[in-house]
Amino acid sequence: MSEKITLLYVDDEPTNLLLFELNFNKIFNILIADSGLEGLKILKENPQIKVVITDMRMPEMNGIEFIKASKEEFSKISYFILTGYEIDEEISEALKKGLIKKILKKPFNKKIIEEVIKKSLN
Amino acid sequence: MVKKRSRDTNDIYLDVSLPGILSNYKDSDFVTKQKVRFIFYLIWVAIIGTCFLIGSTIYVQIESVEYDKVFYQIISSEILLILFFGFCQFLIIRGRYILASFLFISTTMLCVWFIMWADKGNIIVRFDTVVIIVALLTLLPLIIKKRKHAIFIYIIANTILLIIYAQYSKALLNLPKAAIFDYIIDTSVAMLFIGIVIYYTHDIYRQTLNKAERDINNRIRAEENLKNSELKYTEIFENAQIGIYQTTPDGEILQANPAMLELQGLKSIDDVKNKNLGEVDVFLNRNRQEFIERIEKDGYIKDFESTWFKRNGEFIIVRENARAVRDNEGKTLYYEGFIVNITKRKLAEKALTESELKYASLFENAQIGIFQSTPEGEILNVNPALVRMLGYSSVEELEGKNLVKDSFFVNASRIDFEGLMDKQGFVNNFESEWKTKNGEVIILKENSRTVKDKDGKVLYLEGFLENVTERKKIEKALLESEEKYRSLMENMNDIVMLVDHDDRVLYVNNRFSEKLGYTESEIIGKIGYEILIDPEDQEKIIEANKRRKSNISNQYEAKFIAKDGTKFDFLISGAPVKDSEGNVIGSIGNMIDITERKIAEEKLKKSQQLFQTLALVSPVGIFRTRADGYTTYVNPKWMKISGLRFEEALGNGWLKAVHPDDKKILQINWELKSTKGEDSSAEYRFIKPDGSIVWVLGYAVPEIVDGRIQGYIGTVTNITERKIAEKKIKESEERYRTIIEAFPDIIMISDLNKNILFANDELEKVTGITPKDYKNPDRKARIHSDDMPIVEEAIEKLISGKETHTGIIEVRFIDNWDNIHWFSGITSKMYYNNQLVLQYIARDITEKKKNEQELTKYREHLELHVKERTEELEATNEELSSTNEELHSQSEELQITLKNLQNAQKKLIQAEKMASLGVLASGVAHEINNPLNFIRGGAFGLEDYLQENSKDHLDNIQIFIDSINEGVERAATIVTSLNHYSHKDEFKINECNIHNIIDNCLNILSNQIRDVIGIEKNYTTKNFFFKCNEGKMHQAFLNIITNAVQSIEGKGYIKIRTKAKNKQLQIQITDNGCGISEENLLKIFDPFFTTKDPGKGTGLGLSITYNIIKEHNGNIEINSELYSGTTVIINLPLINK
Repeated sequence: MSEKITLLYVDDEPTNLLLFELNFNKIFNILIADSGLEGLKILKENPQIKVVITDMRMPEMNGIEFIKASKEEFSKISYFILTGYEIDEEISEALKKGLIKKILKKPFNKKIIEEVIKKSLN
Repeated sequence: MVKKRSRDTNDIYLDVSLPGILSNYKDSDFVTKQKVRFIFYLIWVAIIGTCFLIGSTIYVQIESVEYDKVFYQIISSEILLILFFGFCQFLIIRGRYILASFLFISTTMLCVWFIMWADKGNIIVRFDTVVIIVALLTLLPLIIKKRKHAIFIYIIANTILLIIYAQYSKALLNLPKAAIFDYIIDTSVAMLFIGIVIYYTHDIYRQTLNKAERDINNRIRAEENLKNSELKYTEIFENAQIGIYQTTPDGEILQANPAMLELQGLKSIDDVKNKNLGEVDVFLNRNRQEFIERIEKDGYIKDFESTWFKRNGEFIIVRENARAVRDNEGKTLYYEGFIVNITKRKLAEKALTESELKYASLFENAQIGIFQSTPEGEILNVNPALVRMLGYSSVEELEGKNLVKDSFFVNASRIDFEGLMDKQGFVNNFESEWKTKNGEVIILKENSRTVKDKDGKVLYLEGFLENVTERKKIEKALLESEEKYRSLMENMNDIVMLVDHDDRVLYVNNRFSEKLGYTESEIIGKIGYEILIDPEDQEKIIEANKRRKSNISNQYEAKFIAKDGTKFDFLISGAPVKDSEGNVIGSIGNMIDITERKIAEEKLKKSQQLFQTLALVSPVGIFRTRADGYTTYVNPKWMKISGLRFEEALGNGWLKAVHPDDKKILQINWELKSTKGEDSSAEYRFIKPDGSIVWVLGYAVPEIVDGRIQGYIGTVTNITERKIAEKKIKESEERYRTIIEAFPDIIMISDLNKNILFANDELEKVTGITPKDYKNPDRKARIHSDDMPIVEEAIEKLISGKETHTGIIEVRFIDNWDNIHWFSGITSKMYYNNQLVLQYIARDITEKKKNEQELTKYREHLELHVKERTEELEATNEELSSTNEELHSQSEELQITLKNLQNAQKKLIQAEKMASLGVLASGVAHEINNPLNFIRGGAFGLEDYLQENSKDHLDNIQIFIDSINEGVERAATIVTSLNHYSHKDEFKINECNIHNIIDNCLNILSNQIRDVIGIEKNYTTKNFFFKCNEGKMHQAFLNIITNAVQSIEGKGYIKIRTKAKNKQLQIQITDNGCGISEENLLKIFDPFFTTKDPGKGTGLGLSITYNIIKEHNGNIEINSELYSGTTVIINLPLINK
């Protein structure tokens, strides 16, 4: 891999953001946002982002809403949900429609996340 | 001896007495004095003469005819002459006699010539003038001192004056030329002749005078010398340190100087003078004979050394030089000798020589190395010993080497040396490590010093070296050895005591104090046996100590008494202690506590006696073997049983008697057990010599002493009769068993505690009670609790009563699978092995009972049904009559409402049931998953960090990280499972194939099932339609099958059967796993209930399954018996197509 993939991770929990960044910053170039709005802002500023992983439950704008909003502008990005919740209708729907490529579960498994992202990009 | 001569007066000296007026010349030499005196008087004569001359002249002139008058010129010149003479005299007095002499002569001559000139008329006068001049010339030698040629100046001057006068006078006198010439020649020759005579006269006179003066001077000097010399010799003689003597050949002393006297210890010469040496006690030369011989032969003797003795043996060593003084005829007058006392020097020399010799010898032959070196370390001198020490072959090889620079020392071992030498100028017993030529390290002890001159300047270093390497080694070894032995003694488990000849204790080791309670100070110096030994043994000790003194080691046992009074048996090994010369100086005792051994010996003895006695009278055969199985003893009974003699049985001989069929097994069994040290027993046969066979039961136990197998002891019991009996019984039993096994009813024998002693196969078939349940009174299969009292009452009655049988009792029985059976049976009492037991014969009448019950139920149901119908009909009738029309118009609406209501109700019930769990689950799930995410993320991060930065730590910490991950995993699993309760939304129902779902589940679990679990599928072949939520149904069956799999330990089976009938789909899953206890069976559907190990199950599986089945309007039932297996029966509604 010549260059690290740039990845945006959105979560309203600062600890999750911190740990995600620390765990993956060797493999990916990690950008973080603590809300959907912040995420959109970062996406606009960083066109090199190829992957977005977002929490589902967040105030103001949930994960799927955020993805829907950003997908309009950045259709080439691979989107993933990383949630501690059981998969609900909304998420299933999003998966079915191809809005998101895969649902990742909390607590996250580093290896699985790594594999899934790499697979999605190939 | 030289005669003393007094010093004579100076009468030989020559002198000229001068008139006092000439005192200026008193220090002048003899000749000068003579001359001065002569001239002085001469001038006086001339003055007087001239005075006469003046008178005569005056007279002549007056008297003479020719003159008649006085010629004043003449007279005045003559008076002038006198004045000149006076001047000359003045000069002489003033000390200028030579000037005066010349002035006198010259003046006189000039005066003469003047007179001649003035009175030229008278030739005769003239001639006499010449005579006067000649006369005056003769004076010259007297006055001339150095310039003797002046004589000729006078002569030539006078001759010239004569010629001039003659030439002048010839005319005047009128004389012929020839006469004048003749006159001049004659006069000149005469004057010349006179001149020569005067010259040589003067010369001869002078030389004679000089010689005479020299002779006189020589003589005077010689005399002076002589005087001095004599004085000197006298002084020498008197004051010489050398003794000087004169003796006669006979030994009479003629002369001796003070030194000689002192040498002899005498004060005055008078003590010995003219006495014979033999008469006085002085030092005498005992070798005088040799002295005389030599001096007589050679006339002298030189550096003759001899020892002179006094009578009392006192001696002096002298050296003498002597000569014999002889008269003209060669007869010896006396001996004259010079003698020096060289005693001290000789003795000193001798001492020096001896010391030198000693030193040289010491230096050459010393075992101690000696060196001299410059302060800088350059070797000046070494002795052979040092050369050898340092491993060189010759002194020359070492000389010129440098002790400091040529690395003679190991590293810095001699650094202190220089410091010490600088500081104090010497070292004493300084030890340092030196290197020999071949590099070996030796330790040398050194005594060195700096040798300084009197100005304190260091001349050289001088050292004495002793090789102490070996000694050091020995010392070290000795020290180590001593330490070793001391340590050994101190730490020895045995007691060590050292006593001297008087049996006084010199040393005890630590063990002594520990064992006997006496401290060192309490015992040392005391008589050991008096304190320590039991009085009855004291004699023994004294005896032993005596023997040890005579150098004999010994060993004996004695009783010791400790401080606290405890008695110990000791085994004492005593040995004499010797000094280095082999003399016995005491003894050393080594004591081992044998108290326990003694007791053990006693016990052993008793035990052996007991064994012996027992073995002899024993009714069973007894044998004994070594650890390797080799037989060492058999008792008479054994011999009787086996038919072998004692000798034949020993070793492996006993095997000969064993039946060939049993030999191999017996031997293998024996070897196997005996090598492991286990008890062993076996039944085998002996063939006795008479051919009869004896069955025996052999039993052997290992003899273990101190954890080691010493051998085996075994018994052999004759069990032939028992064997025969057994055989008979077995045959009889076989018969009965066949009957019982074929019996269609349950036959069972139990004791009063419900332990089953025997049962036929029917019992297991019907009730599921397996033989392993026999001894378990709490086994699952049991009489229904409601019927228990009946049975208990009957049995009580039976036991206490006389009847041997009860009547027929009908009871309900719950089998292992929780099925209820009806049994009809009879119980009888009997004795079995002297024990009261109960025998049951029972028949399963369940079917019959069930039919009865169903019939009753049906009847009741029918009644109820009729009643309900009736009521319904009545209600309908009423309704019909009152709201007939309304009903009709709203019937559709009502139906819908009813359906909705039913659904609502269903939901309500479910919500109620799951309220707490579901709500909790849905709310908590996310909140738990997030923190779990932190933990997981943290753990990953930690692991990564350690992986990179501290791999070592990771290995140690991995287990903690794994634990964290495991914890997270479990928590996450529970949370995920909880989510199942939270579904409120409608789930989708599709048509699906239940068989496929089950097969999928089996596939998923295939790795758990493996080969050890057999799967038996019995699917119905009927067509049916079934609708469900496929995902949930998968989950439900997955849970059930997982439980089945996990319940099976080792091999087992799972049977799956499906049935479809009456719109019901029945799925039955049976396993033969560990089963579920009755108690647990009630809780099986409770959430979080699990019997699995922690982490293997959440306890939610069946609870969820239950929910799923309920959601599908089905029901689930679980039957299980502990240890036998479990059957799950699921009924699901089928739908019509």
